[in-house]
Amino acid sequence: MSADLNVVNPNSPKRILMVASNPAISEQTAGRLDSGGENFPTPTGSLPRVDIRSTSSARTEVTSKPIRGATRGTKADTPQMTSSASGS
Amino acid sequence: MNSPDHSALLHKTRSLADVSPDVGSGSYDAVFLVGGQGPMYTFASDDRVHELVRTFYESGKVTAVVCHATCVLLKARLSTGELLVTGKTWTGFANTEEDYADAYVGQRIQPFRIEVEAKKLTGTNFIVAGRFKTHAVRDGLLVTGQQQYSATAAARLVIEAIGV
Repeated sequence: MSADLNVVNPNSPKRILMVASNPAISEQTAGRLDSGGENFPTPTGSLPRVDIRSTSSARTEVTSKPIRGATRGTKADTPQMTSSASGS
Repeated sequence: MNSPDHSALLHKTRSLADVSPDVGSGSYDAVFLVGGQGPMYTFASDDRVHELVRTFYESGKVTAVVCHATCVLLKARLSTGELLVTGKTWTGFANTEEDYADAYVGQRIQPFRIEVEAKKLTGTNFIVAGRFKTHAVRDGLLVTGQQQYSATAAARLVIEAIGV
């Protein structure tokens, strides 16, 4: 369910705990997978009508400069990143 | 992973219970909850995950959550009983992205939607960017990323926050 990585910096090493979901061993899903998922929460509601279109690459940026206590990735004061937008 | 040393770590991952003592001892500088579809089933109602997040956050450690893992923020509470996201600006998987994914596979995938539930909460500011656009937010110690295309952006914010 989890792994830890060292962010290596010779002068200031950091340790970050990375937590990933593993339904195969999670106590939340234990036994449910074998039942074909019948014990999972049932999604409700009808599917929305969605027009799926191909999406082009998106050029976006990110910043951590505080904006009245909060920041969001819309400023250009840090190196820019390019993200390809496609379906999950 | 490009680094053989880091890649090797993935071959000896530990359970959440196994890492808890290390968390309590403060041996980590930050926590990063990655996403995927699974957290909506495995993280959402797991008190241990909520406790892990609370412990890091209240210890003054950077707490990062990305994609569907942000569902933990719907329930994770501080020791005061207040939701961790109270007074915070944060992001998570958007309705438009759930719509796209559901339509792509022809069925509803998730039992609930993060954006819908987040907007039911009072005293918190849940925001999303355009569908599948990179979007990461830092509000104090809390770092969130909207979806899979926001993981790198969130990681950058974590690195800046912990001062590597």
